[in-house]
Amino acid sequence: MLCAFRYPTLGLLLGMLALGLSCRDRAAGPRVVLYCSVDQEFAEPVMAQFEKHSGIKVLARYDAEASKTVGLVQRIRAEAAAPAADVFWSSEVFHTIRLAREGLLAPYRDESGPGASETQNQSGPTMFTDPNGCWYGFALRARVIGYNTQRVTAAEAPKSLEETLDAKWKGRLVMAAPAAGTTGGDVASWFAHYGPERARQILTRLKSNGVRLVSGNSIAVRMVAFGQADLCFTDTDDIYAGQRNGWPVAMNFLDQGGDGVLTIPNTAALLRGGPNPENAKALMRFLLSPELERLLVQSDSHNSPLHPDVAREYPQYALLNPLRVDYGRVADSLPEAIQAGREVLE
Amino acid sequence: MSERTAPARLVTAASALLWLALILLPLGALTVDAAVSAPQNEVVQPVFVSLLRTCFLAGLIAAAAVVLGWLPGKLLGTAGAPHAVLLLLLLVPLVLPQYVLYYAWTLLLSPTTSLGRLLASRPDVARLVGVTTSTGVLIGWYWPLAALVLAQGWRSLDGRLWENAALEATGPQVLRHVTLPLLARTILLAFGVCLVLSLSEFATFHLAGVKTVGTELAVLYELTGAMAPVARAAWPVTVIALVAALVLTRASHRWTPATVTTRTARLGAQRWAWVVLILLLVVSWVVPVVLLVAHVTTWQSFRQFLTLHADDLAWSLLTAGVAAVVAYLLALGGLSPAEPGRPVRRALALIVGGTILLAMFLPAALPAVSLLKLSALGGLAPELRQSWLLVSAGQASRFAGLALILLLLTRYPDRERLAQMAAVDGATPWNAWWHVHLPRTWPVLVGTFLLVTMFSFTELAATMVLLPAGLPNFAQRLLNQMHYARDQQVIASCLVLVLLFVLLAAATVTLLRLASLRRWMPVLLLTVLPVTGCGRAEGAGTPEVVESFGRTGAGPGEFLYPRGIDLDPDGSVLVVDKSGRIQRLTGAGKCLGTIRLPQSEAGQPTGMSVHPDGRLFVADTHYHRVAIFARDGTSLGSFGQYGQEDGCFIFPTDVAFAPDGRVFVSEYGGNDRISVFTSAGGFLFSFGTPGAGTGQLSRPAALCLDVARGRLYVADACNHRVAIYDLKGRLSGYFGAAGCGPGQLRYPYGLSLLRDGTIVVCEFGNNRIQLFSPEGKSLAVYGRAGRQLGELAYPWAVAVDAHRRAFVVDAGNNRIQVWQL
Repeated sequence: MLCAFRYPTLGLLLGMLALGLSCRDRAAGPRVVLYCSVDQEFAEPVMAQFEKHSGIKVLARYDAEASKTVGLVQRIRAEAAAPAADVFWSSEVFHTIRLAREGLLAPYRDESGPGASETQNQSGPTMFTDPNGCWYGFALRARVIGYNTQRVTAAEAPKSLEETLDAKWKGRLVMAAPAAGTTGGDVASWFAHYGPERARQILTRLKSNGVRLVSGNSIAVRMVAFGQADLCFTDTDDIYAGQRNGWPVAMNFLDQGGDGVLTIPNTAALLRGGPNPENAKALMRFLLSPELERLLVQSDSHNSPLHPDVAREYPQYALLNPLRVDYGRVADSLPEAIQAGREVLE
Repeated sequence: MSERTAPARLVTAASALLWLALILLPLGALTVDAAVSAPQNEVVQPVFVSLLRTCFLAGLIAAAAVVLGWLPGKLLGTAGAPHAVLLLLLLVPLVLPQYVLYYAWTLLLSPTTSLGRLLASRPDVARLVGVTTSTGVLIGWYWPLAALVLAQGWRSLDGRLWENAALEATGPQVLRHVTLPLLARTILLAFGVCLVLSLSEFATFHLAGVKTVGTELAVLYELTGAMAPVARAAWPVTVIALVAALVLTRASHRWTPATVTTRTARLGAQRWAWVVLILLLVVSWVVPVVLLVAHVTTWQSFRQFLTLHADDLAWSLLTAGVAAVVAYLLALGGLSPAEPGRPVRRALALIVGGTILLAMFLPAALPAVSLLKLSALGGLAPELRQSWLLVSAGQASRFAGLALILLLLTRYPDRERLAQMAAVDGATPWNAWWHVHLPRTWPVLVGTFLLVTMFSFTELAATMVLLPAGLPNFAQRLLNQMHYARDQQVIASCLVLVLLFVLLAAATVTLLRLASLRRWMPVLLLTVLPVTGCGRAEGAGTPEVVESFGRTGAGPGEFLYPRGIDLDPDGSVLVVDKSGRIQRLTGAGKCLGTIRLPQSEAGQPTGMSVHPDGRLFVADTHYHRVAIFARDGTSLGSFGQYGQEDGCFIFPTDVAFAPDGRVFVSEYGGNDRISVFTSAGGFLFSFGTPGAGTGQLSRPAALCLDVARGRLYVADACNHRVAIYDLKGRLSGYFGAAGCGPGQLRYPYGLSLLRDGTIVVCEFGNNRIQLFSPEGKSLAVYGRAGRQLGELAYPWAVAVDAHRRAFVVDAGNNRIQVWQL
């Protein structure tokens, strides 16, 4: 009689134990630990391809969408004494630069084959590559103004940062809090491009125009799509995601005073002292290859390619008027921008 | 009491270690870090700004949850039979995480729907969608919690007071002047629990774009990389959580066990409560699930999920399952020390319980961050720090409080009594739990385990902090899928979650149904202990079994827990059992006739004696009288009534006759005395008072007269001794003391006398018969615990004939064994 109630419980526990044992060989064999702030849905299939071709298991820690890149950056800092990760694949560049300046990234030079230097040279203009080789940029996104097509016509939709400050958009704009994600880099680029005084004025005018802060770019797009706001500042990939769902959203580039739109490259970097340095280099080679960039362009994210060959294949995703800004200066402005964002907007 | 067994010590030690490592140290480190490190106002400020909004929303959610949970809580607190079903129904809405329910509702409001387009055209209304939908979903998620707490209040309500008020006043008047004042503390408690949990709510508000303390704190650690600012920023929530934990801990130890009450168990009176309950379930759970199903446009996502993300499911289930086990161990630690009358243990129970609840009430990121830091400081191997075990630990520390509350809710009214019985029988606390309590509570325990597993499975705030590289996680992926607006993938994941719950719930219900077959469980339970290794008496001899008759049942010659026996001078055997009848049987067990007791609903007799003139005197225990029957079963009347006055009884247990015709009646229940009556039932005098001292009695269960020596033997059951009186009621001495060795006794329930003056004692607690000389020396011990012939299960009485044959009432085995002494 007693067996009737003992055995299900014991069975459940034994089942879980068996499950655990069946899963325990996940990390067996060659492996590399990746910290990745690129959206999990995009990165996972790419990593699956790498695993298939290289035979190296990728143990990935993806970002929590709420904190975006910053969460992983803090983790890297916290683990600096005994790094757990080998490679950092970031969806943006500014925090990567800061990590490089803090000495947490290792230079990467691909000396394994004849194609290696070509890969690095082809990764684009100088502004997208660290002179010391501590990080490499690829697969751009751009900052945009998303709008609800049912409530805002293409003609009246603002086409620059300055136009969003117009009083007619009062109470109709949302944006992610600048503390995390690409919004922080965007606001920092205002400081680098316009200067701190003008940037603070922009923030103040946004505040007086009733801008609402939310916890991420995708939330901002969702609010616009659901009619809770008319405009938002976000990234290209978030608008593409909304359009894929049939949401009434469209975008204009967030032009800064006619000088162009902030473009944000993905970055790949080796972490100094990572536990699997050789496998990490193999992963770096893969991340910086045209094949990977092609995959990202083809994905729902539709990044803009930097490799010339890939760019020629996908002219529809070319960013025609990128803002010529020193990413290093933007990275320098990041703390000031975040602080100002808190002081003025929250 | 018996010593604790090795498994019990192991569980206690594991529980204590886990509490130390996962609850106390992290909370302590958090406190120290927040107090010692330098403040960072720039971080604290924005969290503080969100506090007012959060308090307003949490207050609204908690108040609405209490209002909605009122009727279901009343139903659960006052209904009888469907208690387990009700509990299960109330737990159902809690299984799907709030953010999944929120996402399901937003599908209805999507801009691709008519309602969504309508809302998009009304921005003034649309602006409120996020906050109203998230708040509404959270109300729909929290009302069952409020109902669970309110049910405890209803249980402890004095039903008579409430019913009397209902007779004299209208419903609203009763509510205002009686119910609300009586339940005020419980209502506040329910409100407080919902308020505190809502204050640290993260994922739902995050998805809705509503900034609250929960959303701020969840990302604060990620942004600052330090624990102290997070802890400091959370101080208002921490203070409220601390107060709530203390109040709930104190209140929970006063919670009365679930009982079947009679005051509002009428279906008609509760029909509206059932209607409300069903409606709430439909709105809170059924509609969102239907919305998810209705929005499936392709099955490709399901195939994709199974192809790509099955390992998410497996790993998350493993992590959550282990978390549930650890949460249970932690919760057991919060329960086990709470023994009454031991102030140190009680204080310890309050501390353990309080900290466990505090860890649950705090924003989840806080204990998780602290755990992470401690694991680094403690020199934990990198393999462990980067393993799934840390995630399990974080989830367990978060939900141990939930397990604790549910374990407290599953207590049942007979628990203490059964525990005492088991202890007397030699069972260790571990044995008592395993063999007695677990069989009664396992369905809810399993249900709670599944609930904690599901909670851990979908937990986000702590998991986000602790998740190591390379460990797939279902909840994090689900949240990210929501962010990426991949509706079909989200729906696939959500429906897999629903399916998982349905499968687990189906397993639980199947087990519950198995349990419902055991309606004779109380009887059967009492047979368990002797069989399954509880303490056994020492030095027991094997009796010569002459005969054994009877089996379980209500037919002729069958018994339902027999408890009283006597032999008629004509050689027939009279046996009374819990079927409310007295059977007259031959010495071989053939039924000769039945005397049906006029009343037996309140309880059945425990003792009876045949008068030398053939009349049968029955100690009609639960009707507070001695009933008299003729040999043919005709009722000849009764004497005695309920009361403490002379000639009254509380619970009479046995009857004995003096040669001069006087009648001795033993009783317990507060009187615990022997009363002496004339043969016509007139009261003469009484002796004995309740207690354990000399001249005092504690449940005198049986009487036996030795005419030759002028002695009255009294089985002083709960004092584990036999008292010797003369026939004037003067105490002559005792024999026996608590224990299981020869000469010792455990709950002597039956007495009989051999012709040579040897006293035959039936030991309920030691499952044996022991013979004593008139001088009180143990002469022999027969029998032991078990089901075989010569073994006994809770023997209640014994009668011996002139041939030294003992008729032993083997109650737990529903039979009479005849042993040659």
